[in-house]
Amino acid sequence: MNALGRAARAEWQKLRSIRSTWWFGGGALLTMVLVAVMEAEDTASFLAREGRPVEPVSSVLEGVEWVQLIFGSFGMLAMTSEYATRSIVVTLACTPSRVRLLLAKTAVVGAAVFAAGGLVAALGTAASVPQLHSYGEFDAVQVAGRILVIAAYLALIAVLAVGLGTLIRRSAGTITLLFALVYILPFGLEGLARTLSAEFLTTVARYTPGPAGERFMAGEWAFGLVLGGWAVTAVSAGMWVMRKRDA
Amino acid sequence: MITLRGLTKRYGGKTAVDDLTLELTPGTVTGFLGPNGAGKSTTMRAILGLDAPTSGTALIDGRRYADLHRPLRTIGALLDAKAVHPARSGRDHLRAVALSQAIPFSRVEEVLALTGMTDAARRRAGTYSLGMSQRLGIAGALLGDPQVLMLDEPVNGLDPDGVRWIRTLLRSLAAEGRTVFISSHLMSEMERTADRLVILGQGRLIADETMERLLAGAQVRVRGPQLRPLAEILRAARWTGPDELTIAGHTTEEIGRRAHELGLVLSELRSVESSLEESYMRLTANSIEYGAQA
Ligand SMILES: Nc1ncnc2c1ncn2[C@@H]1O[C@H](COP(=O)(O)OP(=O)(O)O)[C@@H](O)[C@H]1O
Ligand SMILES: [Mg+2]
Repeated sequence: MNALGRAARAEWQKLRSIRSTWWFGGGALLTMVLVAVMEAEDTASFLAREGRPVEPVSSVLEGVEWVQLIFGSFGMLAMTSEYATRSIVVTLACTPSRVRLLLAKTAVVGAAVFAAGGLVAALGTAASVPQLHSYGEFDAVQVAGRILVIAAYLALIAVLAVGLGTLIRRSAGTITLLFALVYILPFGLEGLARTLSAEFLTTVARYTPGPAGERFMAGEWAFGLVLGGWAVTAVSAGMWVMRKRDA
Repeated sequence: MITLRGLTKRYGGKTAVDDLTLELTPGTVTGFLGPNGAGKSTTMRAILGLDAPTSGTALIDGRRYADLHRPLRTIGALLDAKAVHPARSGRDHLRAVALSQAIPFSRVEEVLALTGMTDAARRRAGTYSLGMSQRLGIAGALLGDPQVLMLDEPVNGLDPDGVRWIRTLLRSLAAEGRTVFISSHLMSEMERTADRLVILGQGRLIADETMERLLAGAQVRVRGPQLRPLAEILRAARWTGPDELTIAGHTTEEIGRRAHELGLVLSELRSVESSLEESYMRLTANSIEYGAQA
């Protein structure tokens, strides 16, 4: 096996051998099902009055708002816990190439969150079906497609967090920056656009990770590339910093 | 084989390692000795490519660490025994390391047995004592069956049995022709382990001697009316009286010949015994960094 494959296998071994990984997965699942069921109840009572059709994944999108923080924290910790425990010393002794190490971590975290995120979204959908099925249109292929996009969104958020964690190295700072990028930045930009009546800032706000992700999940594929761009930028910046700074 | 050429590392304005040139040879246990803050750990971090040298190079078998293919099969190192994720078991920790180097899991069990960690391997590393962490770290260093072994303060935290165990282990590894490089801030830990001592003070090389020679006590006391020329040509000479010099690192024969060449009259020439501990204290006396952290 080549060096990248070996590094990825080691990273996967590290992730699966700590209990918190499974807690993150279980926590995300529980959160998603709870939020999706509550949201489905809401939607169902609304639809009982309005009588409009709905997709069963719509309730899951509400859950994504919550579980993205869980998966984001998971991605971040894959990096910041190395610095907190100093085990980065061992990790770099095993895989001295910073680029290779980050590629391996990104691949493993991305794949794990894609799989877990897909599962969580699928179960969230399933939990919403009883309330919504009388209003829903159940095109299985379409629903599967939406679930895959949600999984991809969550994976990209986790990879973004890996990159930010490499840049900042500490959990508190990383989670703050991630939160600011996803939630605060678009509001800040829109507020700024209003006060300065600078219309272009509203456009810029649309391309920040949070809003871009929403449109991606709403079916606008191009915005997936925008979010991907953020993730790639963060990981590349992380590689650059890792190569420059002492471990 | 580890080769350091002009290795220098500065952190901001502080020079941690200063122009260190050194060659570590196979079949020898080299003790790397120096007070806390002398720059031992920094040197080892530079060898592993964890910290980039400000100038100079650190090579293993002629290559930089980053250029080694499956590095742990060439050099095994233990820098910080506590640098393990506390939630991961010792066995899982070693398995991750093994996967990164394409080492079979059966080898993990071998090094666990070798270090007496088999029973503790299932437990989370966070529950280990310092001594157990050291053993796990040594197991990790041995995992790739490397020709070069580098351990930073390996005796730290080990009980007397552990100390004896590691001494025997290191001696046998060197006897197999491997290069063994271990650091310590205590001379007493090196006495029965190292063949060669490299002493560092404030980042600079102070002494590089074989153990035999250091053990020979190798301090020569000379008395005579006109010793100034001798003091001028021997850097290791110190005035210990108005007409008395004490010289480290030379035999009485050497000093006698030098005195003869200089045409000096000697009233006394004898070797004085000093323990290793004394030699070490004397050598590093000028380079202890007051208020420095470990
Ligand atoms: N990352 C760092 N930043 C700043 N100074 C450092 C750093 N690492 C080590 N030092 C300093 O470099 C000197 C050498 O430290 P070190 O190599 O740990 O010594 P030793 O291992 O011999 O005790 C010390 O004065 C220490 O404070
Ligand atoms: Mg040290």
